[in-house]
Amino acid sequence: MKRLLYPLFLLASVLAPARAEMAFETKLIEIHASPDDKSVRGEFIFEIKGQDETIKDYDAKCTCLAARVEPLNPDRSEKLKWEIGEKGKIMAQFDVSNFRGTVDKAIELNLIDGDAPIVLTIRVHVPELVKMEPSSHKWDVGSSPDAKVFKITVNHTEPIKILSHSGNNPNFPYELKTIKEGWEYEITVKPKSTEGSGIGLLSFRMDCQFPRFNRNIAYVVVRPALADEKDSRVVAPKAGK
Amino acid sequence: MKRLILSLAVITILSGAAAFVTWKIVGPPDRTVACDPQDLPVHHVCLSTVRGWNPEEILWVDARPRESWKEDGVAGSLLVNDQENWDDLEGQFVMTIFGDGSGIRNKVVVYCNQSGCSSSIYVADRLRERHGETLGFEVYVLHGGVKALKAENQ
Repeated sequence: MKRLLYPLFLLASVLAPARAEMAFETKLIEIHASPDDKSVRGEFIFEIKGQDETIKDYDAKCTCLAARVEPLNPDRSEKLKWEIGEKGKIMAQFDVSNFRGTVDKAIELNLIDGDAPIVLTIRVHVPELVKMEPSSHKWDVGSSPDAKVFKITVNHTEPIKILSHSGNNPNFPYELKTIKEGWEYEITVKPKSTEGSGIGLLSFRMDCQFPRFNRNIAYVVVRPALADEKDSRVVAPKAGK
Repeated sequence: MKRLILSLAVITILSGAAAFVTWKIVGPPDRTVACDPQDLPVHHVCLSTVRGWNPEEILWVDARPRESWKEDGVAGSLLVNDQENWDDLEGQFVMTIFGDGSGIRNKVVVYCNQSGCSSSIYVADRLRERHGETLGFEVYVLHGGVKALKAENQ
Protein backbone atom coordinates (compact mmCIF):
# COMPACT_ATOMS: atom_id res chain seq x y z
CA MET A 1 0.00 0.00 0.00
CA LYS A 2 2.87 2.31 0.95
CA ARG A 3 4.43 1.68 -2.45
CA LEU A 4 1.22 2.77 -4.16
CA LEU A 5 0.74 5.91 -2.07
CA TYR A 6 4.23 7.19 -2.57
CA PRO A 7 3.97 7.90 -6.34
CA LEU A 8 0.50 9.32 -5.86
CA PHE A 9 1.79 11.73 -3.23
CA LEU A 10 4.63 12.69 -5.53
CA LEU A 11 2.20 13.36 -8.37
CA ALA A 12 -0.07 15.47 -6.16
CA SER A 13 2.84 17.55 -4.93
CA VAL A 14 3.87 18.27 -8.52
CA LEU A 15 0.35 19.28 -9.55
CA ALA A 16 -0.37 21.52 -6.55
CA PRO A 17 2.38 24.11 -6.16
CA ALA A 18 2.21 26.70 -3.41
CA ARG A 19 0.43 29.94 -4.24
CA ALA A 20 2.75 32.72 -5.34
CA GLU A 21 1.83 36.24 -6.19
CA MET A 22 3.30 39.12 -8.12
CA ALA A 23 1.35 41.87 -6.38
CA PHE A 24 0.95 45.09 -8.38
CA GLU A 25 0.12 48.43 -6.80
CA THR A 26 -2.22 48.99 -9.71
CA LYS A 27 -2.95 47.23 -12.99
CA LEU A 28 -4.37 50.35 -14.64
CA ILE A 29 -2.43 53.55 -15.18
CA GLU A 30 -4.12 56.64 -16.60
CA ILE A 31 -2.05 59.35 -18.26
CA HIS A 32 -3.15 62.69 -19.67
CA ALA A 33 -0.80 63.40 -22.55
CA SER A 34 -0.01 66.93 -23.63
CA PRO A 35 -0.63 67.90 -27.28
CA ASP A 36 3.05 67.71 -28.21
CA ASP A 37 3.76 64.38 -26.50
CA LYS A 38 5.02 61.80 -28.97
CA SER A 39 5.26 59.18 -26.25
CA VAL A 40 4.33 58.74 -22.62
CA ARG A 41 5.67 56.43 -19.91
CA GLY A 42 3.98 54.47 -17.16
CA GLU A 43 5.34 52.29 -14.33
CA PHE A 44 3.60 49.25 -12.91
CA ILE A 45 5.24 48.64 -9.52
CA PHE A 46 5.10 45.15 -8.04
CA GLU A 47 6.25 43.10 -5.05
CA ILE A 48 6.80 39.36 -4.89
CA LYS A 49 4.72 37.68 -2.20
CA GLY A 50 4.11 34.07 -1.17
CA GLN A 51 7.12 32.49 -2.84
CA ASP A 52 9.79 33.20 -5.45
CA GLU A 53 8.46 33.93 -8.90
CA THR A 54 9.73 33.65 -12.46
CA ILE A 55 8.47 35.64 -15.41
CA LYS A 56 7.92 33.35 -18.37
CA ASP A 57 7.35 36.11 -20.90
CA TYR A 58 5.60 39.42 -21.38
CA ASP A 59 4.24 41.14 -24.43
CA ALA A 60 2.74 44.48 -25.34
CA LYS A 61 0.07 43.76 -27.93
CA CYS A 62 0.90 46.77 -30.07
CA THR A 63 4.03 47.96 -31.83
CA CYS A 64 3.18 51.35 -30.31
CA LEU A 65 3.86 50.02 -26.81
CA ALA A 66 7.25 48.92 -25.49
CA ALA A 67 7.61 47.16 -22.15
CA ARG A 68 10.56 46.13 -20.03
CA VAL A 69 11.22 44.80 -16.55
CA GLU A 70 13.25 46.90 -14.12
CA PRO A 71 15.65 46.77 -12.43
CA LEU A 72 18.02 44.70 -14.56
CA ASN A 73 20.34 42.02 -13.21
CA PRO A 74 23.83 43.20 -12.11
CA ASP A 75 25.21 41.99 -15.46
CA ARG A 76 22.60 44.22 -17.24
CA SER A 77 20.62 41.20 -18.43
CA GLU A 78 16.86 41.09 -18.03
CA LYS A 79 15.75 40.02 -14.55
CA LEU A 80 13.13 37.32 -14.86
CA LYS A 81 13.70 35.45 -11.56
CA TRP A 82 12.39 37.30 -8.54
CA GLU A 83 12.74 36.38 -4.88
CA ILE A 84 10.10 36.79 -2.23
CA GLY A 85 10.01 40.36 -0.90
CA GLU A 86 11.75 41.88 -3.93
CA LYS A 87 10.21 44.91 -5.61
CA GLY A 88 10.39 45.87 -9.24
CA LYS A 89 8.44 47.52 -11.99
CA ILE A 90 7.21 46.97 -15.51
CA MET A 91 8.03 50.05 -17.55
CA ALA A 92 5.71 50.91 -20.41
CA GLN A 93 6.54 53.39 -23.14
CA PHE A 94 3.59 54.26 -25.34
CA ASP A 95 4.00 55.99 -28.71
CA VAL A 96 0.89 58.17 -28.89
CA SER A 97 1.77 60.04 -32.08
CA ASN A 98 -1.02 58.35 -34.06
CA PHE A 99 -3.74 58.58 -31.42
CA ARG A 100 -6.44 61.03 -30.52
CA GLY A 101 -8.95 60.77 -27.71
CA THR A 102 -8.83 58.00 -25.10
CA VAL A 103 -6.98 54.80 -25.85
CA ASP A 104 -6.24 51.67 -23.80
CA LYS A 105 -3.25 49.43 -24.45
CA ALA A 106 -2.35 46.31 -22.52
CA ILE A 107 0.76 44.39 -21.54
CA GLU A 108 0.30 40.70 -20.87
CA LEU A 109 2.64 39.13 -18.35
CA ASN A 110 2.91 35.35 -18.00
CA LEU A 111 4.47 33.71 -14.95
CA ILE A 112 5.90 30.21 -14.85
CA ASP A 113 3.43 29.30 -12.11
CA GLY A 114 0.53 31.42 -13.37
CA ASP A 115 -2.58 30.07 -15.05
CA ALA A 116 -3.86 33.24 -16.70
CA PRO A 117 -1.73 36.17 -17.84
CA ILE A 118 -1.56 39.30 -15.72
CA VAL A 119 -2.98 42.17 -17.77
CA LEU A 120 -1.54 45.63 -17.19
CA THR A 121 -3.41 48.44 -18.89
CA ILE A 122 -2.12 51.88 -19.75
CA ARG A 123 -4.90 54.36 -20.57
CA VAL A 124 -3.88 57.55 -22.28
CA HIS A 125 -6.02 60.59 -22.91
CA VAL A 126 -4.69 62.44 -25.95
CA PRO A 127 -6.26 65.89 -26.30
CA GLU A 128 -8.10 66.74 -29.48
CA LEU A 129 -7.10 70.33 -30.05
CA VAL A 130 -9.16 70.53 -33.21
CA LYS A 131 -12.41 68.65 -33.44
CA MET A 132 -14.58 68.17 -36.50
CA GLU A 133 -18.15 67.15 -35.69
CA PRO A 134 -19.66 65.07 -37.04
CA SER A 135 -17.09 63.11 -39.07
CA SER A 136 -19.52 62.56 -41.92
CA HIS A 137 -23.01 63.42 -43.21
CA LYS A 138 -25.28 61.35 -45.44
CA TRP A 139 -28.30 61.82 -47.63
CA ASP A 140 -30.49 58.98 -48.83
CA VAL A 141 -30.77 58.51 -52.58
CA GLY A 142 -33.89 60.34 -53.74
CA SER A 143 -34.26 62.37 -50.54
CA SER A 144 -34.43 66.15 -50.35
CA PRO A 145 -30.93 67.66 -50.75
CA ASP A 146 -31.12 69.59 -47.50
CA ALA A 147 -28.18 71.55 -46.17
CA LYS A 148 -26.19 69.90 -43.37
CA VAL A 149 -23.60 71.45 -41.10
CA PHE A 150 -20.15 70.41 -39.82
CA LYS A 151 -18.53 72.24 -36.94
CA ILE A 152 -14.83 72.74 -36.33
CA THR A 153 -14.04 73.61 -32.73
CA VAL A 154 -10.64 74.49 -31.29
CA ASN A 155 -9.92 73.21 -27.78
CA HIS A 156 -6.61 74.88 -27.10
CA THR A 157 -5.15 77.83 -25.25
CA GLU A 158 -4.11 79.42 -28.55
CA PRO A 159 -6.31 80.01 -31.62
CA ILE A 160 -5.86 77.63 -34.57
CA LYS A 161 -6.89 79.03 -37.93
CA ILE A 162 -7.92 77.34 -41.15
CA LEU A 163 -5.15 77.88 -43.70
CA SER A 164 -6.81 76.24 -46.70
CA HIS A 165 -9.69 73.94 -47.57
CA SER A 166 -10.92 71.90 -50.51
CA GLY A 167 -13.54 69.42 -51.64
CA ASN A 168 -13.06 66.62 -54.16
CA ASN A 169 -16.60 66.18 -55.52
CA PRO A 170 -18.47 69.02 -57.27
CA ASN A 171 -21.80 67.44 -56.30
CA PHE A 172 -21.10 68.59 -52.73
CA PRO A 173 -20.59 72.37 -52.78
CA TYR A 174 -19.91 73.79 -49.33
CA GLU A 175 -19.73 77.12 -47.58
CA LEU A 176 -17.25 77.89 -44.80
CA LYS A 177 -18.43 80.32 -42.16
CA THR A 178 -16.16 81.72 -39.47
CA ILE A 179 -18.03 81.92 -36.17
CA LYS A 180 -14.98 83.06 -34.21
CA GLU A 181 -11.66 83.25 -36.02
CA GLY A 182 -9.24 80.66 -34.69
CA TRP A 183 -11.82 79.04 -32.43
CA GLU A 184 -15.01 78.02 -34.19
CA TYR A 185 -16.09 77.41 -37.77
CA GLU A 186 -19.17 76.03 -39.54
CA ILE A 187 -19.21 74.26 -42.89
CA THR A 188 -22.57 73.95 -44.63
CA VAL A 189 -22.92 71.34 -47.36
CA LYS A 190 -25.87 71.10 -49.73
CA PRO A 191 -25.64 68.45 -52.44
CA LYS A 192 -26.62 69.48 -55.95
CA SER A 193 -28.33 66.15 -56.49
CA THR A 194 -29.33 63.09 -54.49
CA GLU A 195 -30.52 61.13 -57.52
CA GLY A 196 -27.58 58.72 -57.40
CA SER A 197 -24.97 57.46 -54.94
CA GLY A 198 -21.82 59.47 -54.45
CA ILE A 199 -19.15 60.30 -51.95
CA GLY A 200 -17.05 63.39 -51.32
CA LEU A 201 -14.26 64.46 -49.05
CA LEU A 202 -13.79 67.89 -47.52
CA SER A 203 -10.30 68.67 -46.28
CA PHE A 204 -9.25 71.50 -43.96
CA ARG A 205 -5.63 72.41 -43.28
CA MET A 206 -5.01 74.19 -39.99
CA ASP A 207 -2.09 76.25 -38.72
CA CYS A 208 -1.61 74.25 -35.52
CA GLN A 209 1.95 73.99 -34.20
CA PHE A 210 1.40 70.28 -33.59
CA PRO A 211 1.34 68.48 -36.96
CA ARG A 212 -1.10 65.76 -35.91
CA PHE A 213 -3.90 68.33 -35.69
CA ASN A 214 -3.17 70.08 -38.98
CA ARG A 215 -5.38 67.96 -41.20
CA ASN A 216 -9.10 67.58 -40.62
CA ILE A 217 -11.32 65.62 -42.95
CA ALA A 218 -15.07 65.28 -43.28
CA TYR A 219 -16.96 62.88 -45.56
CA VAL A 220 -20.26 63.50 -47.36
CA VAL A 221 -22.25 60.64 -48.79
CA VAL A 222 -25.37 60.01 -50.85
CA ARG A 223 -26.35 56.35 -50.59
CA PRO A 224 -29.44 54.13 -50.70
CA ALA A 225 -31.36 53.92 -47.43
CA LEU A 226 -30.93 50.56 -45.74
CA ALA A 227 -33.95 48.35 -45.15
CA ASP A 228 -33.97 48.92 -41.38
CA GLU A 229 -33.58 52.68 -41.87
CA LYS A 230 -36.68 52.66 -44.11
CA ASP A 231 -38.53 50.56 -41.52
CA SER A 232 -37.64 52.93 -38.69
CA ARG A 233 -38.96 55.87 -40.69
CA VAL A 234 -42.29 54.04 -41.11
CA VAL A 235 -42.50 52.86 -37.51
CA ALA A 236 -41.57 56.17 -35.87
CA PRO A 237 -44.87 58.07 -36.50
CA LYS A 238 -46.94 55.12 -35.22
CA ALA A 239 -44.88 54.99 -32.04
CA GLY A 240 -45.62 58.65 -31.45
CA LYS A 241 -49.38 58.15 -31.37
CA MET B 1 16.69 7.06 -4.43
CA LYS B 2 16.27 3.99 -6.59
CA ARG B 3 12.64 3.77 -5.52
CA LEU B 4 12.06 7.43 -6.40
CA ILE B 5 13.46 7.00 -9.90
CA LEU B 6 11.38 3.88 -10.36
CA SER B 7 8.24 5.72 -9.23
CA LEU B 8 8.89 8.61 -11.59
CA ALA B 9 9.47 6.20 -14.44
CA VAL B 10 6.19 4.39 -13.69
CA ILE B 11 4.26 7.68 -13.59
CA THR B 12 5.83 8.85 -16.84
CA ILE B 13 5.10 5.59 -18.62
CA LEU B 14 1.52 5.42 -17.35
CA SER B 15 0.84 9.10 -18.24
CA GLY B 16 2.34 8.65 -21.69
CA ALA B 17 0.32 5.51 -22.32
CA ALA B 18 -2.90 7.21 -21.16
CA ALA B 19 -2.23 10.21 -23.41
CA PHE B 20 -1.51 7.96 -26.39
CA VAL B 21 -4.70 5.92 -25.88
CA THR B 22 -6.75 9.12 -25.48
CA TRP B 23 -5.27 10.56 -28.66
CA LYS B 24 -6.03 7.34 -30.57
CA ILE B 25 -9.64 7.21 -29.34
CA VAL B 26 -10.62 10.93 -29.23
CA GLY B 27 -8.24 12.23 -31.87
CA PRO B 28 -5.86 15.20 -31.81
CA PRO B 29 -6.62 18.08 -29.45
CA ASP B 30 -9.24 20.59 -30.54
CA ARG B 31 -7.35 23.77 -31.40
CA THR B 32 -10.38 25.76 -32.47
CA VAL B 33 -11.11 28.90 -30.45
CA ALA B 34 -14.04 28.31 -28.14
CA CYS B 35 -16.68 30.94 -28.66
CA ASP B 36 -20.16 31.25 -27.21
CA PRO B 37 -22.07 34.26 -28.57
CA GLN B 38 -23.90 34.57 -25.25
CA ASP B 39 -20.65 35.19 -23.38
CA LEU B 40 -19.17 37.77 -25.75
CA PRO B 41 -18.89 41.47 -24.97
CA VAL B 42 -21.05 43.77 -27.06
CA HIS B 43 -19.92 44.17 -30.69
CA HIS B 44 -17.79 41.01 -30.54
CA VAL B 45 -18.60 38.10 -32.82
CA CYS B 46 -17.73 34.41 -33.18
CA LEU B 47 -16.15 33.21 -36.41
CA SER B 48 -18.95 30.65 -36.78
CA THR B 49 -21.46 33.53 -36.80
CA VAL B 50 -19.46 35.39 -39.44
CA ARG B 51 -19.38 32.26 -41.59
CA GLY B 52 -23.17 32.30 -41.61
CA TRP B 53 -23.26 35.75 -43.22
CA ASN B 54 -23.21 36.52 -46.91
CA PRO B 55 -19.48 36.99 -47.73
CA GLU B 56 -20.33 39.80 -50.13
CA GLU B 57 -21.68 41.85 -47.23
CA ILE B 58 -18.46 41.61 -45.24
CA LEU B 59 -15.41 43.84 -45.28
CA TRP B 60 -12.53 42.31 -43.32
CA VAL B 61 -10.30 44.81 -41.54
CA ASP B 62 -6.86 43.81 -40.30
CA ALA B 63 -5.79 45.83 -37.25
CA ARG B 64 -2.32 44.29 -36.98
CA PRO B 65 0.96 45.83 -38.12
CA ARG B 66 1.35 46.14 -41.89
CA GLU B 67 3.95 43.32 -42.08
CA SER B 68 1.56 40.84 -40.46
CA TRP B 69 -1.27 41.89 -42.74
CA LYS B 70 0.92 41.39 -45.81
CA GLU B 71 2.08 38.02 -44.52
CA ASP B 72 -1.21 36.30 -43.76
CA GLY B 73 -4.09 38.77 -43.83
CA VAL B 74 -7.52 37.58 -44.94
CA ALA B 75 -7.88 37.74 -48.73
CA GLY B 76 -9.51 41.03 -49.66
CA SER B 77 -8.96 42.51 -46.21
CA LEU B 78 -8.09 46.14 -45.63
CA LEU B 79 -5.39 47.43 -43.30
CA VAL B 80 -6.68 49.82 -40.65
CA ASN B 81 -4.50 49.81 -37.56
CA ASP B 82 -3.63 52.22 -34.80
CA GLN B 83 0.07 52.29 -35.60
CA GLU B 84 0.02 54.27 -38.81
CA ASN B 85 -1.48 57.57 -39.93
CA TRP B 86 -5.16 57.26 -39.10
CA ASP B 87 -6.40 59.79 -41.65
CA ASP B 88 -4.81 57.92 -44.56
CA LEU B 89 -6.06 54.48 -43.52
CA GLU B 90 -9.51 55.81 -42.69
CA GLY B 91 -9.74 57.41 -46.14
CA GLN B 92 -9.03 54.09 -47.83
CA PHE B 93 -11.54 52.39 -45.58
CA VAL B 94 -14.32 54.88 -46.34
CA MET B 95 -13.78 54.60 -50.09
CA THR B 96 -13.71 50.78 -49.92
CA ILE B 97 -16.80 50.34 -47.78
CA PHE B 98 -18.68 52.83 -49.95
CA GLY B 99 -17.58 50.95 -53.08
CA ASP B 100 -19.99 51.55 -55.94
CA GLY B 101 -22.49 53.12 -53.57
CA SER B 102 -24.87 50.18 -53.59
CA GLY B 103 -24.45 49.69 -49.85
CA ILE B 104 -24.03 45.95 -50.19
CA ARG B 105 -21.12 45.82 -47.76
CA ASN B 106 -22.77 46.47 -44.44
CA LYS B 107 -20.72 44.38 -42.02
CA VAL B 108 -17.16 45.14 -40.98
CA VAL B 109 -15.23 42.46 -39.11
CA VAL B 110 -12.04 43.65 -37.43
CA TYR B 111 -9.44 41.15 -36.33
CA CYS B 112 -6.14 41.32 -34.54
CA ASN B 113 -3.62 38.88 -33.13
CA GLN B 114 -5.81 37.37 -30.45
CA SER B 115 -8.86 37.86 -28.27
CA GLY B 116 -9.02 41.15 -26.51
CA CYS B 117 -6.39 42.70 -28.71
CA SER B 118 -6.80 46.36 -27.94
CA SER B 119 -5.95 47.44 -31.50
CA SER B 120 -8.99 45.73 -33.02
CA ILE B 121 -11.25 47.15 -30.30
CA TYR B 122 -9.86 50.65 -30.81
CA VAL B 123 -10.18 50.47 -34.60
CA ALA B 124 -13.69 48.99 -34.44
CA ASP B 125 -14.91 51.61 -31.97
CA ARG B 126 -13.48 54.45 -33.99
CA LEU B 127 -14.91 53.26 -37.33
CA ARG B 128 -18.32 52.65 -35.75
CA GLU B 129 -18.38 55.99 -33.99
CA ARG B 130 -17.21 58.04 -36.96
CA HIS B 131 -18.85 56.34 -39.93
CA GLY B 132 -21.11 53.45 -38.92
CA GLU B 133 -24.38 55.30 -39.13
CA THR B 134 -23.51 57.53 -42.09
CA LEU B 135 -22.19 54.75 -44.27
CA GLY B 136 -24.64 52.17 -42.98
CA PHE B 137 -22.52 49.38 -41.56
CA GLU B 138 -22.12 47.44 -38.33
CA VAL B 139 -18.64 46.84 -36.92
CA TYR B 140 -17.65 43.69 -35.05
CA VAL B 141 -14.48 42.49 -33.35
CA LEU B 142 -13.65 38.88 -34.23
CA HIS B 143 -13.33 36.79 -31.08
CA GLY B 144 -10.01 34.94 -31.14
CA GLY B 145 -8.64 37.11 -33.94
CA VAL B 146 -6.15 35.54 -36.30
CA LYS B 147 -5.89 32.50 -34.03
CA ALA B 148 -9.54 31.67 -34.73
CA LEU B 149 -9.01 32.09 -38.47
CA LYS B 150 -5.95 29.86 -38.49
CA ALA B 151 -7.57 27.19 -36.33
CA GLU B 152 -10.42 27.02 -38.83
CA ASN B 153 -8.01 25.87 -41.53
CA GLN B 154 -6.33 23.16 -39.46
